[in-house]
Amino acid sequence: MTVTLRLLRAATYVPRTELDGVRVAGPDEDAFTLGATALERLLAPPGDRAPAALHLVGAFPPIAGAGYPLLLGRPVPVVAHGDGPEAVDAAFAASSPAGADGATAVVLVVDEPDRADDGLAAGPAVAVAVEVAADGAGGPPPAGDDRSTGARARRWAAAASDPAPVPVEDARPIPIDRPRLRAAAAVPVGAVSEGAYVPRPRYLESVPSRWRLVAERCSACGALTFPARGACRWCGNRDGLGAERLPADGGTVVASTVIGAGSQPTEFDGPARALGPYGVVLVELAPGARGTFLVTDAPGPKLPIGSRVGTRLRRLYPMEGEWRYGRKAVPLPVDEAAGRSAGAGSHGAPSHPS
Amino acid sequence: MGRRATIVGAGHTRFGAVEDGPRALLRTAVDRAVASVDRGVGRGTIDEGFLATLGFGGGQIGNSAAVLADEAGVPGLAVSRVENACASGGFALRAGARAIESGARELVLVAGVEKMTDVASARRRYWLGVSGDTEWERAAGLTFAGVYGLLASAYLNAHPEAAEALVAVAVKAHAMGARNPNAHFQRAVDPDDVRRAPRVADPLGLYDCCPVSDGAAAVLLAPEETAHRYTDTPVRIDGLGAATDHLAIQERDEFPGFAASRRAAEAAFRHAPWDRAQLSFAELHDCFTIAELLALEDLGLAGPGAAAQLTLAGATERTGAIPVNPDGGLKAKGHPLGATGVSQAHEVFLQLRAAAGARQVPGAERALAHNVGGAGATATVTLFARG
Repeated sequence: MTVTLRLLRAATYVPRTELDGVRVAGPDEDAFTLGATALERLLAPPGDRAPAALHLVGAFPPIAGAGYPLLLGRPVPVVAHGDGPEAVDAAFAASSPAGADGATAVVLVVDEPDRADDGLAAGPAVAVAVEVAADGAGGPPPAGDDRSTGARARRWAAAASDPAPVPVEDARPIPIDRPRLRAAAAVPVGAVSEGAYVPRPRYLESVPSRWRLVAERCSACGALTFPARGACRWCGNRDGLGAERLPADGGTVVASTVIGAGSQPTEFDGPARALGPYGVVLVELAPGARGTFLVTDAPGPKLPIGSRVGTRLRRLYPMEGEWRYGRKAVPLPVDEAAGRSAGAGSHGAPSHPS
Repeated sequence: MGRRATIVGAGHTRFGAVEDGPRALLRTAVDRAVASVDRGVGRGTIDEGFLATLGFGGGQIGNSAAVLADEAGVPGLAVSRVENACASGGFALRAGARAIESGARELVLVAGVEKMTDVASARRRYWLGVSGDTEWERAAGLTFAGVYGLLASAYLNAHPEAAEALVAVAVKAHAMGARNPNAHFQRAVDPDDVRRAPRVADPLGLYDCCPVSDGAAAVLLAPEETAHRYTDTPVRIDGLGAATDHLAIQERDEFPGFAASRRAAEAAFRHAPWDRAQLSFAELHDCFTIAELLALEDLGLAGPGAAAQLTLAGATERTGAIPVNPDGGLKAKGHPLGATGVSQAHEVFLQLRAAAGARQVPGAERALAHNVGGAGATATVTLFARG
């Protein structure tokens, strides 16, 4: 195989959920959210940098094709290359963003091993995102003995060298038991849910704020409105509103509750069976901009007021035959420390003054 | 001061899990309101109606105003249905009083009803929370208890001593409910019952939450100058305040207090011929115990951060300096959503006419009723005085 590309940087995301010593996708994660977390890490800090194309390897839910461009906020072409170690090599081979000056492409590989009969993962889950440029003479990494998609992707990630790759997340695992993970796998998605009804077009309309934390800054009074809705919440001004992304890793908890078993809204009945009593926090994302988020990836549901949180894209609840996705709060500094201590330089998780 | 509205009759059903459906509940409340008019009233003289209901559960979700005309026995009556979540009753009362004040109407029927306990439990949990911000807050897994849990967590973080005040609010509500034959809960509870109850939405437990109740209430409004045709002791409406706030608490600058409550109180007192110091008692919207503490401060009945101290000192007891919810409040009397605001006016009618029996506030002359929709997105504050 001849490949003329340069492997720029890589980001790897390993879920924190652990079953019998193996890191597996958490109860609110799937291939789409695993990939989203790796992708956000690769392209952090959130700016205007976006790839010319996105090459996918893995078994993604249908949302991926439309979902990743929404997450990136741009109409990025998405090319699916199937699943398996060979598909990883094929995706890299096809990824050279030839023609576009200085353009880069991203290969996003998610290995979420097939679920066994009981709905539980048969092996470790991992998401790897690698940014590549055409102006190089790199080749594929040594063939090795990569029998899994994830292992092959990690070998490609290790070959990325400009600058040093962001290493594997070293966050402490959060153990989960089989019944809860099984409950997560068993949440019915096809049924029309008995939930507060948010029609699909309204949900899609909210995605810039829901997934990318887009707020609007008022040119008249300076107030921030989140979620963005085309009018200033303070003075009502509708002209000259500037889109402004709120930091995904810079929030402070200002209120915190735990929803007891059986007290959840009906659309969370399935997710709650997997999550157990879950936390919900009101988070100050930036001065004057607050958001409400379900808590995930925390040792316990209750996050103290004043603690710092980041947000990650996760499954929220099923409605009308599909999962609805949105950001959830995760306690910091776990991820932040992983990104920084790795010597990732400017490519680590961004820091935001609190 | 222009034309003022008075209450000349009021009726109330038992609140709780009852067999009657919404039509029968409305009929009973209106019949009792008509029967309560001291010198009698002909139904045919009612010239407008307002119905407060959320349509909980989805039964007859639209156009239910016609049902009030049927059940009031006034065929063809002009009726508007008012839906402002749990504040529907307060807003319907406001609309009725305005119709009188404007000179357009001479006898107005305001009724509120909700039938909640016959709804299948999954559907009930679906409906509990549809009046919050469904696109964001609900998508974060919040019901109303969850939203109030967030509010309580922030308040307790700033005022740790308020944890015991929440217990005191629940104990007081149950003690007062025990004196109200219409109340959903008519038994006292021990503080330890409250403290040990399972958590619904931390820090709120089961006894911090109002129950799911059926019920209806109705009042008859007439202008002050003709009130004597109906009774020697009308109850005058001296102030009508109402306001809104952002639907989602995440968009509010005032937190955890409710700006809508504060604004409604300011509006109500602005034109009233008396002020807070002259209040005999208050009906506050205590859907959760924390809501009573927030309301005391939002309405200016307690200084900022002083609601817990006031409560723990016993000032809000029936015989205290500023009694709150002598009928048991939403917490013990029950909270049939659309009926609640009208039920508050019914209690004021009884209290200011010294007809509240075992729960009478001694010497009650002036009262305030505070009705909140959702978690403070809509609010009314209404002021009453003995006519």
